[in-house]
Amino acid sequence: MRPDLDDAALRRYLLGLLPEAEAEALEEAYFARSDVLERVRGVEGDLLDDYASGRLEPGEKGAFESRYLASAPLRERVVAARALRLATADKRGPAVRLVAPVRWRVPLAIAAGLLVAVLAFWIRPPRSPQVTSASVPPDSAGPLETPLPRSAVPVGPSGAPTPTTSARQTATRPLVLALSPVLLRGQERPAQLRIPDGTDTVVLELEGDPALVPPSVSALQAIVKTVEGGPVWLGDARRMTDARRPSLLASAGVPAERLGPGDYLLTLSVRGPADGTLYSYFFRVGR
Amino acid sequence: MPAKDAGRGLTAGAFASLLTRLDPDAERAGSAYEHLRRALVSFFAWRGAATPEDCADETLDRLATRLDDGVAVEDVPRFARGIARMVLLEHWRRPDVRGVPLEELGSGPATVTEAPDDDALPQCLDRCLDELAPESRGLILEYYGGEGRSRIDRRKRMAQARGASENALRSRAQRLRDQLERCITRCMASPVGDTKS
Repeated sequence: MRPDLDDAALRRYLLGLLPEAEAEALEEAYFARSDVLERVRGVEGDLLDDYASGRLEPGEKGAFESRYLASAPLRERVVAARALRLATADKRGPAVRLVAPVRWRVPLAIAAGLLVAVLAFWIRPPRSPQVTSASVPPDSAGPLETPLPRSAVPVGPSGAPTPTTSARQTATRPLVLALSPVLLRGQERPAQLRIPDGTDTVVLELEGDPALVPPSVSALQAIVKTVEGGPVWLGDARRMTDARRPSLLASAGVPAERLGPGDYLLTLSVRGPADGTLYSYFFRVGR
Repeated sequence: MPAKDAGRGLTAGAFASLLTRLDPDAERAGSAYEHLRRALVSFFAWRGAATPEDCADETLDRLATRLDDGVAVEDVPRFARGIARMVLLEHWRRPDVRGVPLEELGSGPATVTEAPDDDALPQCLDRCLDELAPESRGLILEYYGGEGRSRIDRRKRMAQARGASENALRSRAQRLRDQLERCITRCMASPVGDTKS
């Protein structure tokens, strides 16, 4: 192995950020020598743990998620790292630790690397003042504007409908699913959604730190993929402002027909040739 | 010795050729084979293959067949890596693993898979930790605990306390981690949280 390939370089390899020539040299080395392979695997273990602990820098986090969450075998390692992290966080006993409530930390601290998975649901009547100002602003009309769903049922952490809703709620009540950036899938359960037949669109409200979003001349886009990396939807994310919800950045209307049961990763980014990824969000559509 | 691999579709002669080329000594050949397979599985996983184990086995099959055919190979691991790159390219060409450009998405519903139940994770973790020997459980929790400088220092102390090198300790921790990972994966995939394969 080249002497200049230190742990940081191995980390870049695992994130897919190492130049191809160096990556090939490294691969040649770990094919030939078991100690090199062990070393790369050791660096991978620390990388996984850093992700599970919310210690990755934003650039690393994006690269990590696009690689490790897009592949089922690598995702299993993420799950194992989550488990290991939970087990090592407090050695008094995993069962006690794992059922302890996870506190919601303020989104503005996300940039500092805190792990937050905050999920909230809002059920609001269409065209009400609250919806107009908070989720569907009057200036949101445009070629990509999507209608609100006729109905949808949010579900709680147990998978059952939340107390405020039921599967028989009226068809005219739309669901807006608010998502905070999830730095660690499973630190809390992902936002869950059950979409009844006849629903047209699921409106996802995307939260984060407004200070990290470039000026309004830059268009935002949302890309939804399955956690396996399968493409689902690409479209504009409309900027949103609401004095009552300063962390609300944008919303995206995703056709409900694209969201079958499963886990999804939504990436909010600045439209352009360069990688302008701002935040990633997880959500789950139940059966 | 991975005798099961000989029944994967390879002839016994081809498998023997591969082992002999890896090392004339049978025991060392077995170790070399295991390393090569681990390297292949890691390579395919890190390169994003959907089925790293299958790709690794396909690579080994082709490698053994070529060796058995008498192809002159100077550097077996390097030759294996060359085959692996071809297998990876073929893997990506398969329709069932090939992605569709977002721009080409049609109007049909997306195909997605059901996600594992996160509720199962704490239970699976407990069960899998219970399957480890107490000393191993203590080692893995201590080795992967902490962060940054304190973690590095802790690992040094752990190695010193055990009279082992840091590399040896890392290998041991990695093996335990692999074992725990396999157990958790099995458990999460099982409807009743079974940790046995």
